[in-house]
Amino acid sequence: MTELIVNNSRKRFISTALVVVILPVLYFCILWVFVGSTPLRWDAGWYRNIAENGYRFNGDIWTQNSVAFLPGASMFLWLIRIVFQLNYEHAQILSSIITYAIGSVCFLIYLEGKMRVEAAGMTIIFLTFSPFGIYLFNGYSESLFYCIVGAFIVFLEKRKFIICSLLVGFGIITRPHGIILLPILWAWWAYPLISRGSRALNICRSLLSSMFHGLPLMLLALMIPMALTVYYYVFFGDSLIYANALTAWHGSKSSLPFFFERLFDWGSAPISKTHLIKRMDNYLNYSVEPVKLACTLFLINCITLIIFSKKLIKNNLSILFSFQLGIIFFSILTGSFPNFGRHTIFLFPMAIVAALLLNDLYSWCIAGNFSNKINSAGGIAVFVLIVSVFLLSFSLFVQYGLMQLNGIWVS
Amino acid sequence: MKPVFSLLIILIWVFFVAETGKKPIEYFEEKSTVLMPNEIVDWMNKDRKLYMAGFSRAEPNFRWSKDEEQHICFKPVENIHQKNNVKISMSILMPNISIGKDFYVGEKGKLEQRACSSVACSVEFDVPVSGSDGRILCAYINAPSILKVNGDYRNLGYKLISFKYSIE
Repeated sequence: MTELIVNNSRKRFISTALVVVILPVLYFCILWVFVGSTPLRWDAGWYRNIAENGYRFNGDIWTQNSVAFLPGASMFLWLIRIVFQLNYEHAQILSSIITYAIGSVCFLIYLEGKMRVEAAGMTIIFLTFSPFGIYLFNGYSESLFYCIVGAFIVFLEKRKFIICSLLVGFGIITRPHGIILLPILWAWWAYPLISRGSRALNICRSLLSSMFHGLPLMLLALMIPMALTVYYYVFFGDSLIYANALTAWHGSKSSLPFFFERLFDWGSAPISKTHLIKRMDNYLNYSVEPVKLACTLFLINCITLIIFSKKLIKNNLSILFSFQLGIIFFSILTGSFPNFGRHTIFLFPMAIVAALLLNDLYSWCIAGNFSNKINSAGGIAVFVLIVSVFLLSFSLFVQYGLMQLNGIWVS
Repeated sequence: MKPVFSLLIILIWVFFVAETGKKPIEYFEEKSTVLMPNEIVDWMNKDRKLYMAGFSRAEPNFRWSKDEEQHICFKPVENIHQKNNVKISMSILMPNISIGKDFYVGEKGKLEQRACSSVACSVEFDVPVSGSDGRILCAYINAPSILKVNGDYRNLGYKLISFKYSIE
């Protein structure tokens, strides 16, 4: 009997995993074939260039340079090309698909124990078919980072700290967001070692002591970034060349007032010349400016995270919760959220909460709570709201996907 | 591995990065050529003789100031005397809403008040050579960005047209 239940649950997991991996990839391929142009534009070209030719720098920090890109995605691309004997373009598409698939399965493994596996699958579908989800398939470093975060969360829950620290190191050289994983790793390592006592002083002392003993783990996590800074110094004479090139490239810094201004200024149709965004009216009858949508998504996700923080922690989603908090702090500190919509794909409390609510709704239906009319109306309202938000999100995924495949930069 | 040893390695690395990481102005110093007195550099700054912070990218006829504070640095002639002042001249277009409003120019920490009485405006001010090593000189401008142009999400200040300096 027990074996039957285990087999059944394994089958459900495998079928859900197949759906969450195949469906978005297939959909992206349909979009791609439909448009008939290469999906590997802009930054994807830089990552490919680094994999093909290594870093090139002419000493002029103000011209666009490959040193403004971290090497993680290019290293992975190079590896995929060697293993599968493909050309760089094909290897780049394959690396996006592989990293997306591994990342999704990792998230599924992590979420499976916290909710029904179908609801866990819905989280990934909500995340993937979000407006900026296209960046998980177009050869950018986002897909590899998604994979690294998924694996990190799974291994951290299993308390495999050595593997986690290596993932953090590789995460930092893949996307700057990787730095968020460092304090999460440290906190999860130190937390169980803190002795519980009545005196605050003892707790603080214990906390500091356990954090101090976690330093070797931090060193291990920083080994790869350390090696990268030494490499930068040896070859370019500047250990911070990445930060310098990135700042010179993007130029402006963003501020919180600037964020709110973008958020609320919906009426003036601000089409940015510098961001190469053109009017989208050609594609669908309605349009949403990506820059503004990024601010809106950021705000809604922050509010969702705050409102449902208790529910997320209660459902043993603390690691994911802390990652989401980290992303918010990172976005605010660097000012990246108003500039780059694609950064919002790592901020997904809406997706998790929607799946959790659907999970609760399912359990509530199974329990036969339809007898109460008010409860039924509430349940239906929640369901309709989630479906509406998903459909809106999905339509923007299609719209932005078509735009990007047509050569319009969406971020 | 001992925590103390790990801490030591991390601290050495932090020190290494702090010591070996360049500042953007150092790249400018390495790559830029000398700006001669009375040589006019337009908003395009094609030869990158100016290091500009707080400005937008070049547009067809001008460059917007877009931050509260802007500064423009350049490599002056080598024989510039430590006692000299350099006179900065900037040609700008001030939007109507900012005409008559105060803004501040000069050396860092010692800004002087100015105001434009018309759209086309020439701003002149002194920057002392003493206090710097004379290799790079910087002019500071503090003019708020308050203009909203329809179809543009940025806060804009004034339009920079050209820049030059002369030795007094």
